Amino acid sequence: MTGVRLRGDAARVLRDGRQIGNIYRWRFEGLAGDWEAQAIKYRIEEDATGDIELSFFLGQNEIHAVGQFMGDVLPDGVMHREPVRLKGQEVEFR
Amino acid sequence: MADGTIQTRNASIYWNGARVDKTRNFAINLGSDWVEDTVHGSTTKSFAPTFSNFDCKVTGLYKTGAKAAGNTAQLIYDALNQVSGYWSIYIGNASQYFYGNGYVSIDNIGAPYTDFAPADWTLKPIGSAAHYAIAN
Repeated sequence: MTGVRLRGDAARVLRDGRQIGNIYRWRFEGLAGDWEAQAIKYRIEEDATGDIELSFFLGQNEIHAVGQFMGDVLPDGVMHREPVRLKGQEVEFR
Repeated sequence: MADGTIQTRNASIYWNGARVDKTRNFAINLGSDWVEDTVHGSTTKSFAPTFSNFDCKVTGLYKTGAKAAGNTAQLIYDALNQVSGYWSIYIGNASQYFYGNGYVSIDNIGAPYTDFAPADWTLKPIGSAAHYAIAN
């Protein structure tokens, strides 16, 4: 089984290329076509249902992924110290 | 099942022809398994070894930089996209090495992605690994 298990501090949440929030203290597991991520805090400013884009920063590199939040997140622009899960398929390493 | 494990330092590992920098330790699991080959009429069981489960776990540090042969970003890319490659593991000197084709998985990398971040990964061959040694 191949794949990656990575973690980091902050990742960007985007929709149509525009940032709509962040997730914090993330963990990313999986491979291209099937990945899952978790974060322990989030702050989302706009509706984040359906497909969203994520930018997980790894120093000079970045994993750009398309996925969905599993469960509800509050799009109120306030920092929530609640764990969130994300799943997705498309992923690109830059 | 008995596994032969070599814990080694002062070694180097190559992935697609490029030496992977900043490795600290390898644990090579030869993955020995046994098949029974007792024949008719024998009063004792006999077994023959097979080596079907080779893997190599590598601990090291994050090698920064844009994706390029030999650095951590290249390994992440290959693991994420299931890119196979050819590899060799030199133990101590150039006269003894394991080699084969296979995949890598990234087991643990911690932020921040700087020179002091841990970077642990595993090499898993496609098929069986081969060993080469020059007799001293």
